[in-house]
Amino acid sequence: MTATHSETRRPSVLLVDDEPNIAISLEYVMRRAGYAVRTAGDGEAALDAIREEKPDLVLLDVAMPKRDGYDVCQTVRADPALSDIRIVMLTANTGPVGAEKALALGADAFFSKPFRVDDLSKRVAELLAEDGVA
Amino acid sequence: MSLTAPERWPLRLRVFLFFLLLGLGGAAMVAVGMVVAARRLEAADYAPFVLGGGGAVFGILLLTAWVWQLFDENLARPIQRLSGELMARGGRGRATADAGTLPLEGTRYLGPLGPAAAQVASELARARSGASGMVQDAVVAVEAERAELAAVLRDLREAVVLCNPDDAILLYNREAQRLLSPGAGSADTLGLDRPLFALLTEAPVRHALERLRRRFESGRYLTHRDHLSVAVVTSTRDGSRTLDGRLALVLDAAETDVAGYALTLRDATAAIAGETARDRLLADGLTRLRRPAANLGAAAELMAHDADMDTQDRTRFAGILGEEARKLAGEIDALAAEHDALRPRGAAMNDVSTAAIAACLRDRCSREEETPEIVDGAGVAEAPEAPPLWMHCDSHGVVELLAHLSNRLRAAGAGTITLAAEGAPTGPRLDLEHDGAPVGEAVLEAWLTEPLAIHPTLGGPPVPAGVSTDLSAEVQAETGGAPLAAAGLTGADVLAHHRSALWSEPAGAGRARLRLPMPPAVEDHASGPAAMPERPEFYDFSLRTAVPAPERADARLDRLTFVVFDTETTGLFPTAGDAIVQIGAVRVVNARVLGGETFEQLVDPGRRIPAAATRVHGITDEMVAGQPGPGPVLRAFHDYCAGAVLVAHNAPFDMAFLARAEGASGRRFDNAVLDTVLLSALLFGQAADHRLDALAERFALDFEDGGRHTALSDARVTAHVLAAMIPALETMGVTRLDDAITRSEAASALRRRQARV
Repeated sequence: MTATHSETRRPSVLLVDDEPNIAISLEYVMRRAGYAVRTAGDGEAALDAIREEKPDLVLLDVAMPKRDGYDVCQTVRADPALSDIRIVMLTANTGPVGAEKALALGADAFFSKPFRVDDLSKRVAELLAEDGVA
Repeated sequence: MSLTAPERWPLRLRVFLFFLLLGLGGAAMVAVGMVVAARRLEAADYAPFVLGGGGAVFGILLLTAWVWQLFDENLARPIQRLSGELMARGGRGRATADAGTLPLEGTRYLGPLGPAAAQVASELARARSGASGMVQDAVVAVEAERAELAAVLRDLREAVVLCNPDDAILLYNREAQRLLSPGAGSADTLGLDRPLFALLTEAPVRHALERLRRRFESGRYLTHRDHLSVAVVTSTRDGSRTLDGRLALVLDAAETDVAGYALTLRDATAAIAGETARDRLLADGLTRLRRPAANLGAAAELMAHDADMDTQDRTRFAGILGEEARKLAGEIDALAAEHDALRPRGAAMNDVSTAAIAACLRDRCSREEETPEIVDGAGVAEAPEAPPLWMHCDSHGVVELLAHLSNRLRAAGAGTITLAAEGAPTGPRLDLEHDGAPVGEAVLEAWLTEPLAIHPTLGGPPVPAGVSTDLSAEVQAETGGAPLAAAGLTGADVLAHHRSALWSEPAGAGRARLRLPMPPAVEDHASGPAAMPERPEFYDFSLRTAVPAPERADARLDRLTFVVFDTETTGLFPTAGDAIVQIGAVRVVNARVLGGETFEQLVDPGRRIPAAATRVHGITDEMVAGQPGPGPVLRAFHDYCAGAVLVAHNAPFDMAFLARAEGASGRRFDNAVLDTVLLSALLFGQAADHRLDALAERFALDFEDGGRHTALSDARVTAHVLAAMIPALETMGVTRLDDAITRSEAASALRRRQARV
């Protein structure tokens, strides 16, 4: 997968989830919305991908092998070079305080599964529009 | 001591009879002498004999009567009074300030008896004050034991009730009082010596008792896993609560007989309701999920396998897929929320204040060397602007977790650690604030997977600059053999138990905080716990050998249950339409006044209360408006008195009012009755002052002055007087209820006779 696009800059989204089926659907939705999409299957791979080329937004699952979503989120926020990346966290089950923790660690939005794809894409578009990249 | 019938007669009666005999005997002898003399002289005229003999007889009778009068006035009465005073001192174990000085007025004709008695009394007082040291030590020891037991039982979350084999309650604790006391309006109350099954459904307990009894009698209990206990589920009599717990037989010291049984109970109403609701939710939930799942499956299958489906059909099926997926998501959300609401409270979960957590944490840390100093912050310290917050948690687990985290922070050089708390609608957030940057998730996760134990010798990882990410391996290596691991419990377990999470965030000014959200408190703590009106009496083991009802007449006075009561009324004449406006009562069990098991109720008399009556007792028409009438109050009072001996000061007065209300209540008070006025006459002689104040003073009972003249406060004074009289009566040989009743009746008859004279 090449990471450079010479045409007019499209917003770039990194999709991090270890579950292939949801990744396929979300990748399709993000591409259809006109974003450049890359994927990663765990926390380590996600951080590598982010450092390799900084995305505008990360769709980040919480429960993942190696480093989890919270860890990735906190690490990104602690790095001044990366701190302006938008982070939307997705999770299946974190109990009543999962969202609070995600926001406390610097996530911009939080969705618990199952969510409506429409709602997610709308929120992603809003965040990117705020940054003036879409 | 046993007395023959004449010995039981009052001294004054015996003296009177003696002089009567002397007078009549003298007169008879003179008469016989005159008749003999007349026969010898064979005189025709008896007139001189009749005149002389009559004069002599009259003179003898007059002289005897005069001497009797002197004797009664100066010897019999003073002796009776003196013996009453001596008995009041002899019978009571308490040495009082004036116990040594005996009032000697009117005893000058008793010769050295008065001064001798006074000397004995003062010697007794002196000996007592010497012996009282030893007695006091013993009393203190017993009281300490009782207090210890009471303290243990009082705050148990289980209700504890101990009964004798006749199902009378010997002991109960605060939780039993809360669980078993029926709501307002019910007559039944929990109290010592009260029947258990007035409050509890009998059949399941009876069944369990029979099982245990068979186990005991067959000797199987010796090898049985549960020994002499068995699980029991019952309910309160009104059916409002389901109770589950255990029943255990209590054996006597020799283990040859059943001395009673103990019940521990827990309110299972909510748990059982919750369990039922969860079962229903699971069954319902499966159906609710099955439907959209089936619809989804069918539509997906058709779309996948039917390759030549036209666009219109495809669109329709896609619509179905979307709709059913949304339904499925909606159902899952709804089920999750319903399940959350039904979650049973975790084990060891209690409402705890943040201040208590902070205190425990400091204690916990002070037991280790090189411990972090933890400062109380906002929401934890007792500050008026930010009082401590309350949460629902397993405080031990939380304290262990906080101690572990603090220690890790200290080892990482985190400076002063402050425990603070911040309120939120979903419960307080506990914060450990420290110097430096936030702790990395990976480090935190490693800390959370370590067994909980403060580990002062091993340094934790340093607090990372920025976020440290590569320490987990090192931490895990360090904690491989933590010596104090609390049964392998980890921080992650504590978090899961509270359905919580832990994270680190910046706190400003070069500091960061570890934040731990806690579930909110279950009860409202803003107003503090409901105060108990008066310290209830929780137990009386001596009731174990309590007297069964039919034999009560023969029962010892100090083994009986008395209800000491007083009434306030609209006036003095029940037959002229006066009625009760208030009843107050106290129970005395085994000669002990039970301050907590009182009865106090205003009564709407159905007529105006005269101002004169209001001046006596302070009860006005406004106060009784809206109060129950005599019918329901007397029924409740009748239940309160079940199986007890009624006692009142001037009982005929109060009993007349109770009898008058029989029509309204449909209840007869046919209990045995004792009157403290008559008991006082028995003890101190007819001539003594029998008013309640005088008796209280004689027995050196202290009561705050303002408290008198409500029915309850008068009943309470009477109860203490009764309790003090029982040992004094004993020294007169009045030890049994029937003694007390017959001797009182004799005293009553004497009073009536004197009233007529």
